[in-house]
Amino acid sequence: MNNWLFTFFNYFMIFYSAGLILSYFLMTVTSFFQIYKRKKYYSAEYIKRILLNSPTTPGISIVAPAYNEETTVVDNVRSLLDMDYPTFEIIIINDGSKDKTLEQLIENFDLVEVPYNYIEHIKTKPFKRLFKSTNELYKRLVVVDKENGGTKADASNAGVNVAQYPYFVCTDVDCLLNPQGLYYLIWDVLSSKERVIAVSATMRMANSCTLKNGKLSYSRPPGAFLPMFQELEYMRSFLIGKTWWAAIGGMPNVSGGFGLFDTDIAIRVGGYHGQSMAEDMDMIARMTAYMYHTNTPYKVTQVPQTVCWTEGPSTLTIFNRQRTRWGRGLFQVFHLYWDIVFNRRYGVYGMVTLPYLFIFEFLGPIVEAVGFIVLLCLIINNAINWTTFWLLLTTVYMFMMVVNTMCINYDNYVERVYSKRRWYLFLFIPAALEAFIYHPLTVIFALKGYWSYISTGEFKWGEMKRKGFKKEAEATIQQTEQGMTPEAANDDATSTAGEAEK
Amino acid sequence: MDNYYGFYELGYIEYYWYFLYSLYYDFLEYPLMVRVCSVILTLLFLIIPTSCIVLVVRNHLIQRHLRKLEKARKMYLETFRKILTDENDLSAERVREMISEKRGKRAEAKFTNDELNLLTQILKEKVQEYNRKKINRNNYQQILTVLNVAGWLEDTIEKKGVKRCIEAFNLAQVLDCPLRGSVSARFAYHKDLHLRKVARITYMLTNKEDPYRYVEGNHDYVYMDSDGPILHDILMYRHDNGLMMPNFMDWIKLDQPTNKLRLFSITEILYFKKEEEYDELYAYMHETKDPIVKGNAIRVLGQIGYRKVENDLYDIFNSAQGFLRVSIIAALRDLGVRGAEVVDFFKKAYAKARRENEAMTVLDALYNCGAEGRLAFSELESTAPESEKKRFAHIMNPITNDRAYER
Repeated sequence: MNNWLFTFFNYFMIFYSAGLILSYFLMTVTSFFQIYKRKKYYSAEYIKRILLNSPTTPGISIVAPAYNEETTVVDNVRSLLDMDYPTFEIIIINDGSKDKTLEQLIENFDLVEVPYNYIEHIKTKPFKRLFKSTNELYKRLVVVDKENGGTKADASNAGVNVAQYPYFVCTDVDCLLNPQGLYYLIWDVLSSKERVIAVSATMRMANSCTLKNGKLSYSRPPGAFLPMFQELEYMRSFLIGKTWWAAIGGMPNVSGGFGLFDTDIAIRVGGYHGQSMAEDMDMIARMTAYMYHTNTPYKVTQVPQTVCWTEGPSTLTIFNRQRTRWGRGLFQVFHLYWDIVFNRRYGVYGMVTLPYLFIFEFLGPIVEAVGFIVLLCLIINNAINWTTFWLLLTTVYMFMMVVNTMCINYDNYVERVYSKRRWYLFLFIPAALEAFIYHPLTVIFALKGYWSYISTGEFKWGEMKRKGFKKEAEATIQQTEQGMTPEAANDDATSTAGEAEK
Repeated sequence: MDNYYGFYELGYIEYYWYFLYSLYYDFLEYPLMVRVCSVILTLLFLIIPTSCIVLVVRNHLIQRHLRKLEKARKMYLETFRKILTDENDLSAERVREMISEKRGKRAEAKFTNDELNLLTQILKEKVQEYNRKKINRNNYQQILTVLNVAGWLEDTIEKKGVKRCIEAFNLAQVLDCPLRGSVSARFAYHKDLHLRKVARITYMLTNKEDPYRYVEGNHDYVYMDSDGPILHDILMYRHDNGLMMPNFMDWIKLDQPTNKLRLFSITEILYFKKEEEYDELYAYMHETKDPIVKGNAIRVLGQIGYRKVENDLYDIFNSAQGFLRVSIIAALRDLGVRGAEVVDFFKKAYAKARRENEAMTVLDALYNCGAEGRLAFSELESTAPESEKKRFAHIMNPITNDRAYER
């Protein structure tokens, strides 16, 4: 029996690893052709020029929930208001903040409470009031005050209820958006033959970037330990993973940090799941199911350009909290939508996307943990062929290095985001160390998330504390005081991300 | 010793063959997994440094281009600004002189491809900065003539691959550079769909004889949402330069699988205030059975103040639903109709309204319908149940009432 079990385990691990490597290989190759094809046709400035003057350019509502964000909310709203797009509105949802988030907004943007005919297309916690600005400069700003719903999903739904345009972008209030990012997103919507129900765009870590007047003035990869790895992880996820899923028509999720959605379809499917821990994946699952049920050809696309910058968790505690929540969320999604997995009715999404996610994303941490335990047992029993072991380990490690290297190259090919060339080479450090330091952490926290879902089923987001971005002048002064020359300070000035949960 | 002589007699090439064979047979003795891994590993070891080199070289080339561009900017930006903002029309010779002053070459010396690449980029920046209308068009055309941008782009289009072709066509559009019709027409049926499209668009931009033949005369033309902004951009350019505009009613009547081109054309009639097409639009509004197209036509007729439509609106309203009803109410408001009859109509419409957006539009129309309308509005407000009071407050507040409910 033991022998049979061991043989099965051996073959399972070989096929599992081979499948995973093959899928990564396919993704890496396909995504390059996708990125190349996109870049071939329309330049960003051409898109901007034609959309800027057209009366048929669709409007976009930017929905950003805020909960206890008094330190950052004003700067971030200013940054959002600076978006370069002809028709848009910014909807900030004060989700029952206990601090002075609302007061800060009222004071800084000349807001007044206005009588608003709030129509609850999607059920949310009670809406209290709506604020608009008397100042012409801030006429695009709408602030919704509501009772705390405990999740970002509930707050976002309130924003969708107020949204007046056919598309809405869901983001976090602490995110910095590329001022011209909306053009990329809407161009994807307009240039598709099928109905585009959602658009995902590349996100990055803003942890070590410098801000000036609410805009990025100096960008570089995070210098801090955890965000540095996350930067690479995000790049891989967006430029390789999501680009591939978009190409085969089976996008699993559009990031909760930034994504554009069709307002009408989002309302029809009931918006975000109020109790969801993975509201982004949940939303796409329902939207996709709706499109299949109504037999409507649809598309979810991925924009390779960086459109959004966010603060990544910089301490292990917050990182743990974030990844545990993601683990819980993934478990919850499979719990809720298990009937879609391997269901032919849902096309690529049911037959490829969800099965792949289940086998390689959901089961991945479990398989890795079991594999590690077995390896320890074999080492103790001196039953390891060390030559083969090192060869296999090096092959897998080098393969991931290649994927990471290609990813860095793709990013550089799409557009040079970092202020200096050397920062691309800097990314090779996390690429080389990720497998030994960062990856084990993600596995542990994912398992913790699964266990938490099974044992408690608790759906709370937890409180977040932010320090906020440092502005250019502030960062320079502080570093000069620390004995650095102003030039060096400018070069390395960081807008240290506070303790921020994504 | 024999062996030694045996090897000694082998030439270098034979020896290497022997060495490779021995490696190969040694290799075959290993398990399959090890062999596969070894091959993959070797490849991976090659890919990583190659990838790093690509990254470094690419960045270096970009940096070099940026440096050149910056240098060119310093040299020509001010000259271009002077020429483009000069209120007097300058001659080609004068423009040539001004440019060659900075260039440090004879005025007749031809521009190299590299120079033109940089100069057109700077010119593009300037054109976008001044937003077309603020520049002296004559002087701008003189710059294009002096640099021979059209000839350079035509050369690129004819000799280079698909990607460069598309870039050149796009550049021609951004620079409003008139290319020969025959150049664009050559690619109007190219197998690459994007190239085909961009060639047709460029043809439309500057052609003077039959510019819209790829929309009107082509059975394979299918309107996509992205065509709207592109066509609008071309039409704006043609309108500003006094070139022939299309008859939008012809576009509306084209056989298209969706209504998108019709809706676009209706919007354009309003945008360009094509008065000669108002009557036709009015007639088409009666003909069409599609509620969305009808609704949009009604809205446009309302916005342009086409009074003849007023009586028809009351008739259509009785059999209309949803979006069409909202459009009719909005059109009556925009027409500025006043009097007891219309106030009474609005009151009945409010009583019948089944949707929130319809009720809000009616209230808005009533509120803006003169003194009688305001009175009726107040009466309705006083009798409205508590749950509906917020509608009235919303309408009355100028900050809140952005008429989003009409969309």
